Amino acid sequence: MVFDDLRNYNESALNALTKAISTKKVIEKDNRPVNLNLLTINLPIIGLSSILHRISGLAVFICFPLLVWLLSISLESEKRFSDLQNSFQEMVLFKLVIFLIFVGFIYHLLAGVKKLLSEVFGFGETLKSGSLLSWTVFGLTFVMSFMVLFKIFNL
Amino acid sequence: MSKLGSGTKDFIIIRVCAVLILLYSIYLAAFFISSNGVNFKVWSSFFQSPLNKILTSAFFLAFAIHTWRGTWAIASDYLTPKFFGNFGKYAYLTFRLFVAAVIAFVLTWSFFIIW
Repeated sequence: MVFDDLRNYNESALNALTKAISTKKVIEKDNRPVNLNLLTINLPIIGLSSILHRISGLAVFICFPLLVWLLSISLESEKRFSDLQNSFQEMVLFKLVIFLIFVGFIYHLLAGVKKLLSEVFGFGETLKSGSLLSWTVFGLTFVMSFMVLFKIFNL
Repeated sequence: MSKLGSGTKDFIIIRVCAVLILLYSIYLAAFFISSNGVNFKVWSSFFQSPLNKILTSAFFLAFAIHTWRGTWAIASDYLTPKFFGNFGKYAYLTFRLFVAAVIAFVLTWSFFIIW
């Protein structure tokens, strides 16, 4: 008896939905305004960390052929290897580009580790721990970038 | 794996490749830190060892798969009619073709460098 009632109830609910769709009541509901102007959205630290993960990933991907090119030159011959070393020591722009690629890559790696930590172990799923973890990723990126900066500019 | 949906498979594959890339980065960093100052001899013999050839090939393969899925996530979020109107479809296709060309180029090139 209960199941019959339930079936009747479901049927009447379905009928009501079909009627609503045919009279466009449901479709009209989808005309909600969409606000996607990024400049008007106050981006919290977790959101910033997330969008930078995407931007850094794309940036490293676009720069990657350059790294493959450098690898191919470095393995060609001893002369090419030392030529490469010399131009690296002489050109500030060369050092700067490598440094920026490193920063993007290390950020992408650390933010990726953060993501895996939350997916596998549930770390950083609350607002507080998520913010803390995002700050940690920024902090570690900052520290490691400075270490590499000192290293490659011989400071 | 066969019971999983294609989205779940993508989710797992992109993360497995991410972990491979992370491990290779640590391995490479360990090489640089342990070998105090790299010269051509050290560098080329490092890349001639069979173990390193296999690991580097695995890295490039992981790179290809990871970036193919990663750029898809970006493209399917932003290169859409919502942002680009009628042009969205073409922006998406152009970007995907560009990415495919870069990945194919990098994979082929890395194969010739390593082997």
